[in-house]
Amino acid sequence: MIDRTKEFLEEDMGLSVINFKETTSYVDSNSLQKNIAMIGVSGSANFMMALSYDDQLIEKLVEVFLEGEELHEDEKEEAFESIANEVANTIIGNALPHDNNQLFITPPIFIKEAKSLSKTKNSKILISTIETKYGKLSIMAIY
Amino acid sequence: MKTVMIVDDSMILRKKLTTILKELNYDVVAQAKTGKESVDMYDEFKPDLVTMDITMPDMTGTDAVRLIIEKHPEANIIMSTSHKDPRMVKASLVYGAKGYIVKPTTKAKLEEEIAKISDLSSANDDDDELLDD
Repeated sequence: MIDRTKEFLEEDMGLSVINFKETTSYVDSNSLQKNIAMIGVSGSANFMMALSYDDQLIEKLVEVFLEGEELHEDEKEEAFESIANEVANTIIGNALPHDNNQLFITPPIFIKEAKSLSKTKNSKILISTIETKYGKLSIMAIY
Repeated sequence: MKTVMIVDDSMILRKKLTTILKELNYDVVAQAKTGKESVDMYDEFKPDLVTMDITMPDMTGTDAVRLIIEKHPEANIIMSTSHKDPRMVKASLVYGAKGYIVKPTTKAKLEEEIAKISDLSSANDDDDELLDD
């Protein structure tokens, strides 16, 4: 997932990764996050994936994705949500293994700000954060 | 000019596909946000080509393909998926979709998939001309 995220940012979006941090120990939930796209994964495993983006990074992703096409002011909010979801969907879908274990994903859900990423008290989150010139993107596995 | 219907719940992808398809000389006659909408819109617009996302709320692209092809077996539908696993599009292809692309969507990928279907359409057009003669 992390490799695909780096590859997507650098090769598909042309945004260089300047820093990378992986939290390998388990982290309790209740982390405050912004601009989150959440996707459920089911099948041979069940968990949630989430990507969160800094505001400036989302703006840059929209600009790159649309190759500079102008957006009307009233389209911008929807475009930002849409790119957050679309990037999450592409990265997570691309990264899923296609061996004997079949995994399915749900349509993404966008959350502007979340006080808690999981309703379950004992849920755990693994987080990796990738930094670009335009801000950070965090990839989270919640289970 | 050939016509196309874009089916995707992602607003930004509908915009990108509109740009790409116009560059490929397609007239975008309809855009559907859900599989269910796409079935009704196909009846109304009967586009020459459909680009269909698989993962959508309300109704999946796979189910939409099944319903469209049941009534319109001639429909040319290209699936769009983020999964690299070909098993994820297998059902759509069995129902009658003509091809698929794996996201991220690019003009080159779409053009290549369309070209595979265009060969069939060109062949049919040629046959029609022969019959007219």
